Amino acid sequence: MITSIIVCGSLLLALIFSIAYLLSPRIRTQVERPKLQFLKQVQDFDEIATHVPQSQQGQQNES
Amino acid sequence: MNQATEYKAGIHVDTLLIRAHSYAALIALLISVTFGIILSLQFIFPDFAPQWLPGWGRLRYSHTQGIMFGWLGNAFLAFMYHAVPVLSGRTVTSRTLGLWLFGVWNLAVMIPGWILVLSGFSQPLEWAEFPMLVDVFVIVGLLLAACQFLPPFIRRGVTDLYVSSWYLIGGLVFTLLSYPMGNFAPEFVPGAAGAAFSGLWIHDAVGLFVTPMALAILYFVIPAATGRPIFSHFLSMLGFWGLFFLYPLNGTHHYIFSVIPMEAQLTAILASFLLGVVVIIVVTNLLLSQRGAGIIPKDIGLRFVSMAVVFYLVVSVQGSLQANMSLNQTVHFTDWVIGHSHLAMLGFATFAGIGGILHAWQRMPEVRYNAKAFEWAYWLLVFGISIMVIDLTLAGVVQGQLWQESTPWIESLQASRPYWIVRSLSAIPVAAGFIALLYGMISGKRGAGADAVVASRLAQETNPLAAHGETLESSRGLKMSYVIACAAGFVFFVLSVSLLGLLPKQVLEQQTLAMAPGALLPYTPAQARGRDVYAREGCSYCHSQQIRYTDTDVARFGAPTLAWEGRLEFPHMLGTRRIGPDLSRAGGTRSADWQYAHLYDPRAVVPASIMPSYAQLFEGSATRPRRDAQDLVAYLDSLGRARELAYPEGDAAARLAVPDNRWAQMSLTAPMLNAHPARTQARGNAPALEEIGDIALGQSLWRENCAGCHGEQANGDGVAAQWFEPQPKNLTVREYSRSMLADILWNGVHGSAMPAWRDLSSAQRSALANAVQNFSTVTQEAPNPAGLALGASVYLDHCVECHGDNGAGNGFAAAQLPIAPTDFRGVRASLAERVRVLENGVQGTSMAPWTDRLSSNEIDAVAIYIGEFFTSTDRGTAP
Repeated sequence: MITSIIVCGSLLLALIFSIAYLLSPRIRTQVERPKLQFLKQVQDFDEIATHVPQSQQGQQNES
Repeated sequence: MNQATEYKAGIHVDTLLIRAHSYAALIALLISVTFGIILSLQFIFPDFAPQWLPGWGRLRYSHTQGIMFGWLGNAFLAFMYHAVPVLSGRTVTSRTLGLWLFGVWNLAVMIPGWILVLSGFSQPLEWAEFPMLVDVFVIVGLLLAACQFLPPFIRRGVTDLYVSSWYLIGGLVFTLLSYPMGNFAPEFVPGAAGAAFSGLWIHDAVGLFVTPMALAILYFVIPAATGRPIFSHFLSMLGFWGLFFLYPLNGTHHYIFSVIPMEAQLTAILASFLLGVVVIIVVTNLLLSQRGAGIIPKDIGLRFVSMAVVFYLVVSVQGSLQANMSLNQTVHFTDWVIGHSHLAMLGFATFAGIGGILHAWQRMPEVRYNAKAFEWAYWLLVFGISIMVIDLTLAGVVQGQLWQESTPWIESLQASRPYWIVRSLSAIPVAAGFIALLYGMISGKRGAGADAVVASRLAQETNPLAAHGETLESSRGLKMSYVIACAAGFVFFVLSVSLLGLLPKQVLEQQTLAMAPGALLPYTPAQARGRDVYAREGCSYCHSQQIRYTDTDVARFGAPTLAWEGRLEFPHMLGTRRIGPDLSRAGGTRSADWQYAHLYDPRAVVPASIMPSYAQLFEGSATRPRRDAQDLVAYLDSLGRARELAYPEGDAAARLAVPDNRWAQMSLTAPMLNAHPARTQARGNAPALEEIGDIALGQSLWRENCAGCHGEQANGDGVAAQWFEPQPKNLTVREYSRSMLADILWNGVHGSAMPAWRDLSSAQRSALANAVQNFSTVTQEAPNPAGLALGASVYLDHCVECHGDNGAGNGFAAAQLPIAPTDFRGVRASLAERVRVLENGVQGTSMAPWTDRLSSNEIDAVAIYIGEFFTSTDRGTAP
């Protein structure tokens, strides 16, 4: 009984989450946005911590 | 002010606290590893540790608590001081609070915890070994951590919470709830029901304290070091919710085949399997997030984290597999599980912790940074931990297989020895790796790590949001996602405690009510004190007290443990490892003097034993036990007594009370209540020995099993002989019939230290019998008719009441004697020995000296007469 609830419950929730993610571009954007925000925050922090202005980033790579 | 500048303005990382926790972590790690090395060496050299050193169990307590709180706890705190400001865009609550947290964690938890445990104040619960006084400070520490790290998220009002934040928040909340549950509940909930709560904490400690923190590091360091966002935040969320839902439901898989209700066990097994699926999703996401970074990334923090991902996959799949009942039946209690826990804590979590610390370390220009030392640390640790885990896993398979085949317990120890040697050797690169890590943090150029970060960052994307056409505008959904993360911790805690703690408790209480005898004898004061000694010395780390519901356990130990048998166990002593045999039914299995000798000098009675000596419980001799030793033996002798006293009427009544409980019926209909192979039994029913006995095998078995008491040459002068009453027999002056040897080896000698050897195979017992017979120097005696006549008369007057008319040891008084009188039909001592026994008696038996009642002539005559009873001359033959 309990095991059935766990299996069905977890699969159902995962399914709902997945379908919503696949069908709705808005949800997709919302769900994925934190990873981009986080990266920006990390880069901001690195800039402060290591004192390399963001404007220099990428320039050396291009050259 | 837009969010981007606000992030910048709000960020302040307290590097002093990062450094403080990092150094504390490394020091605690080295101390804990030192404990571990001493422990592992004792497997190979059991007498290696000097007497002044705390006992094996106390070191074992200190080892695990040191790794979890001292090392990982400090490492995670260090990382959080770096990560939380970055994730939340806000500084942590305050430095003062941070200093208090550091002080509480290290000066009120770690140092007193170690001192108390090493001094003998502890709790015999896996991952909860620090005493309850220290537990209070752990909770204070966790509360301070919550006050320090949660408000930045709340104050900032973070709307789109990154996955690392979810894990940090959920992990902190869950641990705050589960720690008190796992550390206090078993003190108030007895036996298996308490174990159900214990099981929850065992898994929560790893799954919901260590794993979320480690995963937070993985999700943080990978994008931060590669400069690319993780592959999919959707998959990471799927993983987060899956893990937080399923991890808490895994706990009972530590007690599969125990008396904990099967419904709870099946729930845990299923959750373990599903967890494996979720972990594969998480790991796939993490591996894809590293695309382009190479198999061995250049960034040292990322390199450690990358290896942590691999370890996480292996340990999780392994965990799911070992919850499978058929595999669990074999590998549970073995070194497989020890390998698994080392892979989790030293592999996955430690590599994540190091990755997190080094990632932060690189970004602190004021600290020293030695890249070469970190390189060395990485390779040494990868090599050492891999060898250790593979080795322990193989050892577990070998041990499990031998147990399944019901081979003598000692053979599993002997077979494990090569693996234990490799395990100890593997500690060399592991310890060297940790030393290199510490060296790297205190040597090298200041700011060298920051230089490396700058070089790597210049090659990365300029603005990830711009590159993906996104802004930092918050989405309308998930406005209060940190609240949801907190709620996740709370809701899943309640769910797991209800399903795997409270429900089993209720079922076990019903079972106890239905099956327990009306009155249960409480422990005597001595037994209760003995239980404390047993707990204090960590005996439950090597000896379980649960006979599992498996055929192998029933065959080796007897009827599986019923719920009511642990009714007085606060906290439970079920145990999760068997280095020595299960002790559920130790009561009445061994004599007290054997127990004293074994505690004082284990190898004197069991030459191949690896049990540590507890000579500190004695005053210089096994015959002079201190109160602790007496109490401990009193406790050991009480184990299983309650069921024994209720047997067989109690079991018969219980069978009727729970006719539909299949598992209880398995216990109630087991062929033997106590099937311990060493338990002595009344004479008779011994299987006949084979006629052919292998000489070499017999001699080898003699050295391994008998020489400690009877001596190498069977003169009865083994190391342990001095501590026994009656003393072990001098077998050179006795000859035994084969049927008598069959009886003694099968049943032991009840009331003496001579145990039964039922776990030896028929061929082994036959070979051993040959070895015994070959020691004998007794020769045929010349007939002496005059002596015989007088001897018969003396025997009739003085000996027959005990030894019986025909010398069978079955006189009318025999049943009243603690040790059965000798059966002269099956054993004959030399004439000189018989005279010696008659003159001196046998200390520790009812056989008194006869010199005050019999003349010298009478003694000689009766000695001659007794020799006539020995009729059997059958001797085994060698192949």
